[in-house]
Amino acid sequence: MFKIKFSITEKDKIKQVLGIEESQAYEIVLCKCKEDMEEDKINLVFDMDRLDEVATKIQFFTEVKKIYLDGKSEAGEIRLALEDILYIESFGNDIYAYTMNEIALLPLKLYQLTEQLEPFGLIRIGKSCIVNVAHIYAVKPHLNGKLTITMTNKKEIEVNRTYVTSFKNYIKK
Amino acid sequence: MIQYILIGLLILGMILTMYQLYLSNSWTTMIKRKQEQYTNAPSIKSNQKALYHRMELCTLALACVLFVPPQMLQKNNSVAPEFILDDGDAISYQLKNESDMEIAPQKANPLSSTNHNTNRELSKSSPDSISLITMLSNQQELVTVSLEMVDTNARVLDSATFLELYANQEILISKQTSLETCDYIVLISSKDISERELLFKEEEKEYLLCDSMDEICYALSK
Repeated sequence: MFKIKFSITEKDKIKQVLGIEESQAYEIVLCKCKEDMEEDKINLVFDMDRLDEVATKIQFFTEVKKIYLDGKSEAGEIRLALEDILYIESFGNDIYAYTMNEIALLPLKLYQLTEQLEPFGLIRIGKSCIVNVAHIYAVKPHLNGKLTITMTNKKEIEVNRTYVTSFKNYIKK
Repeated sequence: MIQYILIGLLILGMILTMYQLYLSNSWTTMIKRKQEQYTNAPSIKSNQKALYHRMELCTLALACVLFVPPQMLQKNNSVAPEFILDDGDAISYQLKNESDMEIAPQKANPLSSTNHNTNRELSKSSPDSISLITMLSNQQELVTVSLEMVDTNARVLDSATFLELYANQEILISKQTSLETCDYIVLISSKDISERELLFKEEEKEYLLCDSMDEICYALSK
């Protein structure tokens, strides 16, 4: 999410104070002069002296509101945070959401979920399956064009050849 | 030929594994970038151990195939005798390359038949027991072949007389294919053939020499 354009020692301090990490796919640039600013990105230009002030401002970006899905589990009605869902699978008319510890029956149709959840990193990879990209642990491409995805709970899900292209396009965005 | 096919298959395996490695790398990178849009700590791990292991195996197998001595894959053709059959009975042979046997020919082969009207030829890739005895009888200093004669009471006999007799006889392929009883056993061993047992029996009109492994008998007329 962030790119920090400071010296190495300053960078470490910024990471520590702001509690952020750098990533290759970033949207926000933290820099100390206008020359370091990047087009099409959110740029925060500041001196190290004013780092504490930046800390309060940056909360706006870091504290993203959680999105929840309501469902039913064995324990009763529960609310699942979208970021905790590993994958969603359909069995006939029933749609189940899987987290690390829970399985919940969702009251929605798979095509509705596909449309609603795609902006949040959940992508359809088969006739009956949606995966959360953030929870992919490993990927294994096959020579026949298929793909096997291993989720963080070690569950292996196969991506059919018909869905590989759309999955690839989504990943590349 | 087998070696070339193996090398081809292993190289193909290595190319496919490398392609899979490339695919795996590019997918991992793409997913990692996507994950970074949603989280600061991407969960994807580059799990290519199996592919690297397969690559190692292919490399190892290729090295083995390349460095295996060719003799282990091909039988030695340098001493292959050529059999020419005369109307199904008489047999004569000639060595393709006598220099390969590390011996100098001393005299013409006494077993060569003089009246060859033959059109049929039978080639063998390695010398059989009978051709080795023939070579021995022609060249007694031949160190690569050893011959031993044992009688039915397991006593070792002098084989020089046998070789002398053998060298001066015309050999025919007998209709008989095996012997039930024998006078003595001729044990022949060389680096080209493992130890073979030939059964020798003196009969009224001829001597019979039978190779139980090949199920063939040779007749030496008296």
